[in-house]
Amino acid sequence: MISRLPFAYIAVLAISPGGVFADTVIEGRVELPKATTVTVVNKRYQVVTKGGEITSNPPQGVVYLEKLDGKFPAPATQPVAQMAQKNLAFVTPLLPVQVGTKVEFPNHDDAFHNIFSFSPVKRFDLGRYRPEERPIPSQVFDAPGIVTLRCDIHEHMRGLILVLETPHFTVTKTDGTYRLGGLPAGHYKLKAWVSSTRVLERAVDVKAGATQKIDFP
Amino acid sequence: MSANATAAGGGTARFRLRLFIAMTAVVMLVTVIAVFLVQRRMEGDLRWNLDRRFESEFDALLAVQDANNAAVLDRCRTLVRSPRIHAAIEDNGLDILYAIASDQLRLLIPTRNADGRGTVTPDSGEDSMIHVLCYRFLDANGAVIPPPAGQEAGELVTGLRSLSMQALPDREELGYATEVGKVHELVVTPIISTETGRAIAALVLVYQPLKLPARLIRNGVKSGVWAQGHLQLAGCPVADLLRLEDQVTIACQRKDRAEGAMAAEIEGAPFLLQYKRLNPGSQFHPGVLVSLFPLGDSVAHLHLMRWEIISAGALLLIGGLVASHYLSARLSVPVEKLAIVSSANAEQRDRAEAALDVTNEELRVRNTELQTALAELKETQQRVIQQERLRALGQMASGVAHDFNNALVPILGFSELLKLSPGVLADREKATSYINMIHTAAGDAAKVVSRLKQFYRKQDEDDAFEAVDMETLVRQAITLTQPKWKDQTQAKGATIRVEPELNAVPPVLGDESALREVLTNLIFNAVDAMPAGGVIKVRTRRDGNFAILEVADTGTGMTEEVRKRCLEPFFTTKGERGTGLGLSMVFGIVQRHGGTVDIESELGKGTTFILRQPLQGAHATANAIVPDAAAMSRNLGILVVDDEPQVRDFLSAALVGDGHRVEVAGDGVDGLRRFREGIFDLVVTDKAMPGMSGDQMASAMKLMKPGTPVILLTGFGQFLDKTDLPGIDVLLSKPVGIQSLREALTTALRHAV
Repeated sequence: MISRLPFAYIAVLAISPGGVFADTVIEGRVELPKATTVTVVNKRYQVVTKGGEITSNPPQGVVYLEKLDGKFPAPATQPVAQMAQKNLAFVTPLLPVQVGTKVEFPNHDDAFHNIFSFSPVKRFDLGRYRPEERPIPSQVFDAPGIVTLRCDIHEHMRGLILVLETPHFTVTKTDGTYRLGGLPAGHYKLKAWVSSTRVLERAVDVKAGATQKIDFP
Repeated sequence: MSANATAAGGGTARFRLRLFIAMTAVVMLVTVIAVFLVQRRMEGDLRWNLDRRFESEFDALLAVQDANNAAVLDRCRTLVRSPRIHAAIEDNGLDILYAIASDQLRLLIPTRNADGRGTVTPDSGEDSMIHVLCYRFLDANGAVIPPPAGQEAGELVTGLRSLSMQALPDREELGYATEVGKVHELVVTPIISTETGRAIAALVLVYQPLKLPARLIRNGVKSGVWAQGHLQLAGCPVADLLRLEDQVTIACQRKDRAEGAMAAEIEGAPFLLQYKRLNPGSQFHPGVLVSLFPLGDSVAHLHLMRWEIISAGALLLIGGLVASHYLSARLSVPVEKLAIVSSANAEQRDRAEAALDVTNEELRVRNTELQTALAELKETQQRVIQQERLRALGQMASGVAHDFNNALVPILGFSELLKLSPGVLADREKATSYINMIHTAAGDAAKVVSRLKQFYRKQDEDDAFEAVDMETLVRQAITLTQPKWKDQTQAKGATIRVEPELNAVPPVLGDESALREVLTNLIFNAVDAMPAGGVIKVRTRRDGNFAILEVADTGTGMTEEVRKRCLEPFFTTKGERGTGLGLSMVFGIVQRHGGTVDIESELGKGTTFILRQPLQGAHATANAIVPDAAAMSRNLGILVVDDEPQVRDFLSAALVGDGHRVEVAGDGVDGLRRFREGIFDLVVTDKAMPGMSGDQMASAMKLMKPGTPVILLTGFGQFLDKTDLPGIDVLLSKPVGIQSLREALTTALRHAV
């Protein structure tokens, strides 16, 4: 799984319509809420829902670029992402994908998992499966929004899939810093997803080959 | 007497009646108490057992109820933990919430009939089947999340307008909802967020209370649930149900009592009602489990038992009454006797008291008479004692006379021979022999008298034994007794021969005269035993350390009775001629010498007396002191004082014969005068003299010449103690021989030196 992630990025970068040689970058820091440590029966929750507000745990944000009007065109080939289950947890627990991406849910544990989601954005139930299940159970996420992933067998397992209408997105580090490169020049909205109820937005003027620094307070 | 007895009879009848009444009262009291205690105890036991049984049954019911609730709760818990339910609520999926829940609860959900109407089928299936009527989810605020249209979640029962709550409970809670005639249970289960631990929603499930197990129903037990003043109880008439509802409602208003028991009635039959709150601490209305246990059988049993106990008590009472009647009769018998006796006694006492005055007078008279009689009696007694003394004295005197006569026989006999036959005197040897016999016999007579004196006192230590030659003794005895066995019997025309058979025997230590007397007595006895004549054999022989002396006759012999008793004093077969003392004296003397007497006798053949005399130390003292004239080398001047001329002459002749110078005096006064005037080496005086006694005179002489020894002659020598006579040096008993006189002289002079 780890070996495949770079390919995903490469693919994203390759299909981006911006400059190929001089990278266009926005970097900065997103202020994230403090980590909550709720452990139930020694099991760490990677996603915490509190008063209807869903955050990842430890907190991470997603910074992504959106057009002011319309949307980025759909990619030529269907992007594929993976959200694996390892040690009875989702890896990684927070996964941003572009609309139309096919997300695979490989099971790396020596146990059954039953990944399902009742989120209105994408309702699915993969049923029980073992690691050797082929093809790898997968879902295509074709509507934007937040999808909460659960396991019917391991009730503490939580995962978040952020379905975005852009191919330009990045997950911040746990300290909030991010670097978003390969951007096309132009006027855009730069958004920072902090939690399900808190998305920060800035208007940005992206210049080709330049590096901007934008912090979200 | 008869009047008293009647009175006593009436008294005892009253006593008997009272005793009977008292015992009856006690018996009744005891019986009643016992019956009461037994009945109470048995009823208590019965009730206790019943209570235990009902309690355990009630507990069983509660357990069934709890199990039922637990089963429902278990389903609910499983449901509310399901990640799908959580996902539906938390992940904004409420639209599929009921669908998911119905999937999970599908076994409990009421079935829909073919006609499409939602109906409940509570009576179908097993008794223990849970019949869910409906369920609803509540959101975080306690409001009902409405099921989407067409979604099956059961119809809300009448009376449950809404299942909304003010706030979500932290844990499961049981509640009860009522309909007319129906009580439904409901359980609220909170849905707790696994992330935050807070209730985010809740599930409310309404279901029918469990039906009773068939076993309990068969026993007539009724059970139901009470809530909000309504009681659901199957098989109970409405009127009773309403009353029971009121009863339980009143009982449940007491908040401190979550459970209890009381009596109840259904259709007139008694029941024990037990109740217990099922949902303590719930925010819903309280629900109470009510169970009714039929008491009809127990009450009937109790009645039966009561009658049994009362019957037993009655039997006991009757038995007690009979027993008390019998006992009172038995117990009053001795009292009746006592009463009769005491009445008789009273009568006798009256008579006795009346007679007492007379008796007192009589007593005085009789007392006087008695005193007189006593005085007479004492006098008589005195006389009898005196007579007894005289008799004893007489017997003794007779004994003494007997011995004395024996001693006198040879004296008289030989002296007669000498007097009548002058020719004998010419034969000097024969004459000397006769005189010696006379002398010996006279000495024996003197010893008889001395023994008479000894009769009064114990055997003295100074009873001097000397060596006695048996052969001489036997020959002397035969010779001494010759006048009796030869001359007197020949005069009667019979012939008695005495044949000595003498073997050599060492000398025996003893009193010669006493032993001679023994032999004499035995010979006399033998002579008396042979009135027709015969032979007397006198034998001596030695047998070891004993000298044996046998006197055997050929006389009449003795019967065994006589043989055994002949040695006893005063036992005689000779009638007036005997004293009964001869053989007893023999026995006494032999015993004194340490010997034994054996008697062998056969009737018609004769008797043998066998004397055994010990021989020890017989030689030592043989002829120890034989003082003679030669020892008295000195010629002494001797004053002899005696009032009797014969004695005075004898003494004078004897002393002069020994070569002494002798002066005589007739009385004490004369003696003193001569003593004062003359010179004497020694004084011999009689004791009893007229004027002045010998001892008085001796005392006076001692004052004059203390160095001159005085010999006192006395007939009572052995009665006197020398220490009582200060002037006397030697006591000499009468009769006095020359030999004893010489000894006394020697002793007196030794004293004087």
